[in-house]
Amino acid sequence: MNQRYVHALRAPVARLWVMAAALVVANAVIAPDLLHGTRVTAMANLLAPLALAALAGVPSVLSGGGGLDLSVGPALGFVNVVTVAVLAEHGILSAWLGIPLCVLLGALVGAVNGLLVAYGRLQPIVATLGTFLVLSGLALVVLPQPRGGAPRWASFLADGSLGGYLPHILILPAGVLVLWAGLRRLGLVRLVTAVGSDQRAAYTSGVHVPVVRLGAYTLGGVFAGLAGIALTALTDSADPTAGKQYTLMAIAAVALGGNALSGGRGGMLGPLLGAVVLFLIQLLLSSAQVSSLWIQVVYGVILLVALCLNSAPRSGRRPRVTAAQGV
Amino acid sequence: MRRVHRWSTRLQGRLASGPAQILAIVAVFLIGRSAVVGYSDWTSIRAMAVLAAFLGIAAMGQTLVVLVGGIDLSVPALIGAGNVMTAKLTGQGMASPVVIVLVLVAGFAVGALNGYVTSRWNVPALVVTLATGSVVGGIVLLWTDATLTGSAPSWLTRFTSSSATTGPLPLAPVVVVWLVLAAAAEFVLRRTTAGRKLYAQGVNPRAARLMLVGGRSVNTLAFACSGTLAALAGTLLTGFTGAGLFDVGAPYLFSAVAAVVMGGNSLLGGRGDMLRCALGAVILTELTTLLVGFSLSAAAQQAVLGALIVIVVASYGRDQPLGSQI
Repeated sequence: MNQRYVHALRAPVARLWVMAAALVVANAVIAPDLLHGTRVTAMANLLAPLALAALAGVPSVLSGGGGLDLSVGPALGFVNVVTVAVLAEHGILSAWLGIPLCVLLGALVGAVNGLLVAYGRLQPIVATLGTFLVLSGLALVVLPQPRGGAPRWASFLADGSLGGYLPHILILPAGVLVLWAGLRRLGLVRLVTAVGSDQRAAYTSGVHVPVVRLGAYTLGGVFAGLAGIALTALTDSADPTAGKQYTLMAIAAVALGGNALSGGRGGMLGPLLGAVVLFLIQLLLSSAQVSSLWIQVVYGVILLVALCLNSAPRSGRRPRVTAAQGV
Repeated sequence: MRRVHRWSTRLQGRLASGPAQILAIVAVFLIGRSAVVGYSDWTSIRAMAVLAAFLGIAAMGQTLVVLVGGIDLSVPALIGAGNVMTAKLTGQGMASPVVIVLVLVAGFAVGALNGYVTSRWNVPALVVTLATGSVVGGIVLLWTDATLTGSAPSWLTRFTSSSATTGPLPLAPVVVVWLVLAAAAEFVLRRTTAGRKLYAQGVNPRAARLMLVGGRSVNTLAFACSGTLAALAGTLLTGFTGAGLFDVGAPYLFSAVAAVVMGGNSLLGGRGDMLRCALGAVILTELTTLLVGFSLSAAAQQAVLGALIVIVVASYGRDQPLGSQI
């Protein structure tokens, strides 16, 4: 019995649940008014862009070959900028048109990344670094200064909550999880995992590797588009420099969630919990009124400790030797 | 058709091993010469060499880490730390040799911590170095209160001035230091056991462990060298900036990685060398200078640089098609 619990705790996701629960308790002790209805909505709004950015980083990492999407942050920032400076400017205020256009823009960015990686055969870090720079530059060209004037659907997403407890903004991550579950059901996620764990084996079994990679990056772009919508809802305005910060946090969340950055292993729940843990650490530091100069130091130390606590347990077996990938 | 394809693949393979980068350097230089007034002036070439030296020294450490299959995102924080430490300690009247030793030891320690944690707990280097970078950056912020502090020692200002000469050479001493370091590192990588161990670890860590050549010490040493070189780049930058500023390293976050890749090294580990890294630093510096010369806004410059990096790397740094890797 005891043995079984110990074993269950070894799973990275289980340890993340424990970490998240401990952080929620710590937060509640320090700031007891956290669990009131309006605060919960505000917390959910703050969390949503980070959580969606983390989910957007998952498919590219899963598809292997050094897969990594650095452009997640600027992509979601660019969607935010376009929503206010282009769509709202041209009178496209309806949610039924605006939200699909945002998702489409995200998908387009993802598809460009995917084309560069899968068909251009560039290393993912270089390709997405290129789009990172292009998008963060373009965002500033389109909108040099932060500006208000977000469409009404943004404040609908941010303000309301279903039955007073379930904030509207949670529709977005829930939508991502449902979509992912559907793709898993169709077997498409397994294709990505197969390509990620050994692309040569996948190729020789008849998987069309470039198409799968393109699909994975495009899907990540769709999620980044949704993250951009969440950012618009959070700020109710557009800021051309707000998106960039999410890239590294998203990758940290993916790694903290136990997904292998070498590809082929991991799911959605881990990175989601990873994002929650990162968010709760920041929340704890700011509600404990740690000086803003100290926050960076403490955050780095906690991230390091959490990462080591959550690392894969060292098995007693000798590691099997397999052919190195991609060499 | 097939024959043409095979021929072009072979040509690409040849080109990827060196001449392509040199061709790219010459091409960008010629474009700059015809498009920007004064681009090929002796003074601007010397200024570019100094900028390339700072980038090149930081990118050398990054190359070592990339060779063992990692990546080091603590480089900008360590550059900032080296920069601030040098300026502050010099301002307090400490002798330069002592300051430099202190800075290098600090960089070595942080780098070694990166490498040890990465291999001991088997966690991704990207996030570990992100975390230590955050800690180091935060400590520097606390130490300086986010203001410009200290002053550069006067010899260092001459050392990094683009109009300075090294004996008979019309290059600043910092450029010579960079080239000597790069040559030494290339020699160590190619001709010594330590260098070959690094490659073995990068190509296949498990096989390396079974051959008793890989493991924690190799990893730790590679990261420690990266930390030391980043700190050194920070110290040298003090001569350029004149005082210590905590975020002087910020532009090097991705540009150090970009220089490594633009030289044609593989981020998957085990493939690459110092010569390519130096060439990559030169190409990146040329491109950046070129865009400054076009008097574009900073935002537009960034956007164009992103596209150019992709285009340049696509011209020689593409992977083999999967079908030919089997």
